[in-house]
Amino acid sequence: MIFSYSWLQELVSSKLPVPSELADVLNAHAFEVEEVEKRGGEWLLNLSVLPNRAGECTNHLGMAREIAAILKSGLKMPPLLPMRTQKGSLAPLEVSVRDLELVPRYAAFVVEGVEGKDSPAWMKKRLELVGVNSINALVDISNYVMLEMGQPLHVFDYDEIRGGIMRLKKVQEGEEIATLEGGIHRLPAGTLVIEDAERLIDLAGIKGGAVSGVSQGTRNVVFQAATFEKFFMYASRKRIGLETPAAVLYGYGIDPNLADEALARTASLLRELGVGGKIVQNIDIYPKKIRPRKIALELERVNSLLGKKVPEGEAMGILKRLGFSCTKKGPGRFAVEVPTRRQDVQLPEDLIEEIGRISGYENIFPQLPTEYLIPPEPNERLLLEEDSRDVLREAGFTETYGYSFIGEKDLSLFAYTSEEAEGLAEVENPISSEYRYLRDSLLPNQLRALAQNVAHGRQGVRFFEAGTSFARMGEKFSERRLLAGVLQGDAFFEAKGVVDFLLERLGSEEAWYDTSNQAPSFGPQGLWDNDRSAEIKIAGRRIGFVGSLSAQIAARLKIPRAAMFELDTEMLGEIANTETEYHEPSKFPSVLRDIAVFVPHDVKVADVLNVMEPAGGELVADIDLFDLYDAEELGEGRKSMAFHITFQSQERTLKGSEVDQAESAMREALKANPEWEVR
Amino acid sequence: MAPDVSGLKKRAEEELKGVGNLKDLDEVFRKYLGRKGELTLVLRSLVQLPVEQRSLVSKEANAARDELRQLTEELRKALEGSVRQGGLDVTAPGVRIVRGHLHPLTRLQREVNGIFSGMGFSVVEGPEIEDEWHNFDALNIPANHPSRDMWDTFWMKEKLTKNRHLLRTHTSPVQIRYMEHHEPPLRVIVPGRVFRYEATDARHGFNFYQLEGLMVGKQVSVANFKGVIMEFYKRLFRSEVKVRLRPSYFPFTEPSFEVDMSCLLCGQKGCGSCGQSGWLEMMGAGMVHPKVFEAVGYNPKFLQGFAFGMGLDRLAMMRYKINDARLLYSGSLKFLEQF
Ligand SMILES: [Zn+2]
Repeated sequence: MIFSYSWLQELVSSKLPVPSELADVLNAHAFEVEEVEKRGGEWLLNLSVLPNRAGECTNHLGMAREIAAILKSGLKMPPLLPMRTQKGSLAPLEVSVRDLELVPRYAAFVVEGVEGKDSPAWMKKRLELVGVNSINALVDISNYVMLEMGQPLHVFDYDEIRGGIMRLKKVQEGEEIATLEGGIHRLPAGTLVIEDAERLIDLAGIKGGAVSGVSQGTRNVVFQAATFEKFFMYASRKRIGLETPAAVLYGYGIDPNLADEALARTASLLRELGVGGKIVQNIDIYPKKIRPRKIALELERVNSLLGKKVPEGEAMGILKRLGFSCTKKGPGRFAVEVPTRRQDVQLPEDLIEEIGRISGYENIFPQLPTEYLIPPEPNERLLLEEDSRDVLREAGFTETYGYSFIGEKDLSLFAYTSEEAEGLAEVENPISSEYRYLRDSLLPNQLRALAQNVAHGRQGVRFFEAGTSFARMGEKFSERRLLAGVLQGDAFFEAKGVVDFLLERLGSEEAWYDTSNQAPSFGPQGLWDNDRSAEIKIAGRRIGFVGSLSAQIAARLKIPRAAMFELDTEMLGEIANTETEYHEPSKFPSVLRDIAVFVPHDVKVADVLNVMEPAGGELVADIDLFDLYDAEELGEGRKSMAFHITFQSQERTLKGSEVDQAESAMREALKANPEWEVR
Repeated sequence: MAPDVSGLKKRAEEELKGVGNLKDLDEVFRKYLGRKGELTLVLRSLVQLPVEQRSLVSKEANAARDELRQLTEELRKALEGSVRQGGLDVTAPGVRIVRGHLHPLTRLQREVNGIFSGMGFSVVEGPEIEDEWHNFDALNIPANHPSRDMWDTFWMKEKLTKNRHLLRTHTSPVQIRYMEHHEPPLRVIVPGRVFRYEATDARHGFNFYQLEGLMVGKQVSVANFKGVIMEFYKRLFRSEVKVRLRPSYFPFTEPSFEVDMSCLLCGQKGCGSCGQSGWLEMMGAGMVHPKVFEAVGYNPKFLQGFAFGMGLDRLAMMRYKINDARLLYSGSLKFLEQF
């Protein structure tokens, strides 16, 4: 809110520091200063008053009270005119409130015989500087009092209130009202309004009705200083979508006891501005008077929470300057009475904040905790993820962070089936359709990043991301931590090699690549090339997927080819073993033999290994594929595989005859398959 | 008189070290180890020595011969190598090593986690899709309260009308989740991704990273918060920093502060980065509100604690002088490969 420096000065009894210094003082002890500027010869301060204090501090008197308390000065009240009704000729208004819990207080007075005129120049200028347009003296007075004291006022044309009746009530579904700013609002059921004998005349606490507004010709008026319940007003304003200053103030909550001074100030301004007229009726419906709350405060708690000894006199002085009254109840114990305007102060901690900020946080000296230090627990999940990041970086991958969202267009771009789209978690209020869903896989955004860099002419791009994916199952949402990578080019075996490298480095068992099930655990299946992808399984559990990008999607993204993998890091954590153990290499020499075999095209390396390994027995230390040859000249539908086989024992030097025997057992086992030819 | 083997060896070594080509090397070799070389002659003359000296000098001379031979051999290899490389253009670029890069946010989080771990804080995490109770109500932010407007929220599309789901607007709900299952005293930090329903610009994104901190005990005070956070900044920025607390408001802390750090760019003289104020806004913080302790079943009478939340994206921008927050999520190699 914008505050006028000269207006504040009027309300503080001592001379204020210059504006920039005043700003520093407020910054350190009360509110954030957004801007200090000079306009039209006047200094203005834009102060950010947060919701806890906005009900009583977004007005000049409230801010002056803060300033006076900080500067150890006093508050100078503006002129108030004690209210005295006089005899008049107007018929008394009959006001009734149906929902007293929504209207804690309804105070108003009726003025007979006002003279329509403009406000004086000083008031116009002051209003305009803080951002309020001048309309006429009557409306300006109501705005002025709100800006000065924080009480929203509304002024009605008495002669437009039909039947001499004002009824505060909640509307039924479908009722409409035309308000002062010219809009017509269809009101949700339960909205609080004021009606006269015939129609709705006011959208209570939010905006006046067009029919009952004042103009230059208005002769008799009603000034209303009502209090409405804050939660109700907040919800109501949100439902209707009208953010008027009064509605906002009511939503923060104002003090019902403020009405008296606000109306006395109004009366004084009516006289000062020469609007004329006399108060002929006083209305005050205030069945349950709000009284100050009492809080027991112990000085020891103040010192303990702040970590600083505040002298008793200083603490009590601060509270008194802010308008609290304190009674000593024993050594270091006080009963503190909270002024009713301070609805935010409910607990001793709230008082401690007042003492702390006014005495100055800069006077609290930093102190490292002396409490017993318990060594922190390691976060195993995070440690594993960090290890994975290091491994992938070693493997030449660059880490990306993608947005958590994917958009409507992505569903077709990345070939989501309608069933898959159904399983996406959706945001009710997306920023735009581009960010409507939460990602169920990290790959779409990774591929997009890959495509962008490829478009810039980059070669050999390798990206990875460790992030959260989301899914929806019926009415339940779930999330998983995933680790995904993309590799530019026809790089299936690199991708697979990276997965193996990662698993090895994380101390996992070797993975088994299963092609029997082509459904990835996360993200759309259409992302993958069915003939070049496999499930990654460890100990029977599906931990992820590795494969090539579908040619169709590659074409859409304008990436020639790409390979990718995606793993569930939570599952990885359960099977990883980060303990490193040294295995002594064998002291005895190893013997190397080669075996090559022709097999039909559809036979996989794993099939051949599955035959060789058991046949070779314990002497086989390692089998290593060193050549895979798949060409026309081998004859139709055949390919060649060649393996290095290492024989070695931990206990002794192997005899040539032993190795010969094991090797021929392997060859025999391979020959047992009539379609395989051992060379 | 016994020959001075060690002096001879020393001279030979000196001369060998001064050799710059193969020709000179051969010359030095011949001088000492050739058929008529000085050391060869010593070895030959051993028989003329008295018996009591002979074995000692023999040992010394043989060792010297072996060492000098080895040294000569090494030098020969080195010199031959340099001859072969004579035609190489050494100014041509070296082979580019393909390396990967960690994201700046990862690097920063590691550093931050490390500093807090050193001060006894455990790193804990929580879900990114939260329920309304943990994200708001338990943190003393009731529905129909203007304080909710402080967090622009993405709501999940679902049929629930009570305790609806949302994308967490801060990491603070993890305070609640942690305290629900742990007893004080405790020290935790919570790094993680959070979401705000607002348009992205150079300073804000709709998803970003926050780091929450929480310390609860019997005596934890504002002074302790100041101490811990100053120590943190000191270690992160590796220089002396000043910290300033300004009054603020968060429903889940009382008192609440904005935390400013002295601007290290201008040494508090005032610059563009700190808006000429000499201070940089770093985070929100405060002492845990008694209602929060109540919400997790603690007795607020016997407990005190501080909580803080800082934006890691902003911290990364400061730490690495990044001028646009969107770069962090851009996937642009030009950006990422600088880390
Ligand atoms: Zn600066």
